[in-house]
Amino acid sequence: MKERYDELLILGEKAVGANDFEGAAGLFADAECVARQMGEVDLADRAFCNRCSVLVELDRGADQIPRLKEILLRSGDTRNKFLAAYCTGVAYFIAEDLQRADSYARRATGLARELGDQALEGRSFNLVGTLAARDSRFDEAEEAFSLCLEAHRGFEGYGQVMAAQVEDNLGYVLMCTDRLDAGIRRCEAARTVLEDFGANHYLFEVLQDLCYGYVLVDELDMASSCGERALELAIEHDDQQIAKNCLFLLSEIAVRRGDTFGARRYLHELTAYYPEAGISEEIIDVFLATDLTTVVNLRG
Amino acid sequence: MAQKVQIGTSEVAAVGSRLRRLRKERGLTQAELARQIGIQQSDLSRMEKGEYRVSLDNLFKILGVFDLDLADFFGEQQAKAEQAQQPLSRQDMQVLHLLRELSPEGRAEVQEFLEFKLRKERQERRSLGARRSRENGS
Repeated sequence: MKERYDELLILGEKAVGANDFEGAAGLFADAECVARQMGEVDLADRAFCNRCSVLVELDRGADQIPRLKEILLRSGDTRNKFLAAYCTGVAYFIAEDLQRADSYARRATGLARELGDQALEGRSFNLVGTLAARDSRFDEAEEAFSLCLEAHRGFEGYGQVMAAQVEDNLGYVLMCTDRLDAGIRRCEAARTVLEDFGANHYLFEVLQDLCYGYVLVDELDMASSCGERALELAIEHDDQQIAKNCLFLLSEIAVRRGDTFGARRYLHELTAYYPEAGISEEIIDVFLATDLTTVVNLRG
Repeated sequence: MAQKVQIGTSEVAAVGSRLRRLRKERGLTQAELARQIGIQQSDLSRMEKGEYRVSLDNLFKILGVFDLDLADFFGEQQAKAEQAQQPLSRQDMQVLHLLRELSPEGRAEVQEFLEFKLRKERQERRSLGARRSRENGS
């Protein structure tokens, strides 16, 4: 039975690598059943935590928080405790409870350190940094992303894709703290890796950040090409937040080029995402009249 | 085209202070406004201090809460934009008249030059703003 359990976990991880989150969740659930039949609590917890790490990606992690907390309190297995803390942090993040998310992310960092596992440490630093960036605490975000990159150093294969995402996060944070050239270099490096791996599902955020950076250094052609591609991919992957950010940035590019008509077109598309605002023309005028690039947080 | 007004990093604080003023004028506490926008009170407090950049979603919520007081929210920036939308001056008319006399190619050249000039001026204003921010230690 243990062999079957191990096999299911490996298949689940492969499914995660192939972005088949539903399939992975099913495989981890099967593994949990097998572990329960064996009476192996730690193995069942491990499979459950793996399933939760997939469920949070599917936006269905919040329901699992009580059980994750129970594992964190009860388990004697540090790796399971890490997974429980990490998943709880991500679940709170998705539920927009950033303070609790931060607390569990830091708990996960401590547990990863206790385990001496660089990869897990990197994951938790990335979560700490992501939360800090979202909260405009850019200095803390920079520190966390830098530590995360250290943890990811030397990773091969898919690890490079994860590292590229962190590199992009760090690049964005540098741009937000007026280090534009360094930030753009980081994001360009991330873009190269993601393009090499064909990881389009992560590429559009990098392109959005590059668009932002190139707007700030007034390289409008580069900004426009990154922004248009990011918008296209964001729509294809149904990421509304990035699509909205791109429309905002593209309108800014159009205004800077003197193309008010084009800017209005992008802003009309943007305001269509906010039907409740109900005063779209006035809002469009505000966006046309004011440069909000350093007021808006693209990670917000 | 209305001339856009740059908001540099230091101006995030200016937007924050306008937000605070507008909130107080409406007789709203931080807790009440934060609830209306759907954010934490601590985030609103940091926003008013200029320590917090807003997401587009929250920006739209803020604009929605203050409804048509947008000019007030953006203060002088909006006023300048409105000024740019006022009737054409004598000099504007003269420039337009000259422009109309040009060939289509000539007009395209002038437009190109104007766009270049505008970009350059914006860049200079941005650099100046950034330098002032650094000098003010913000």
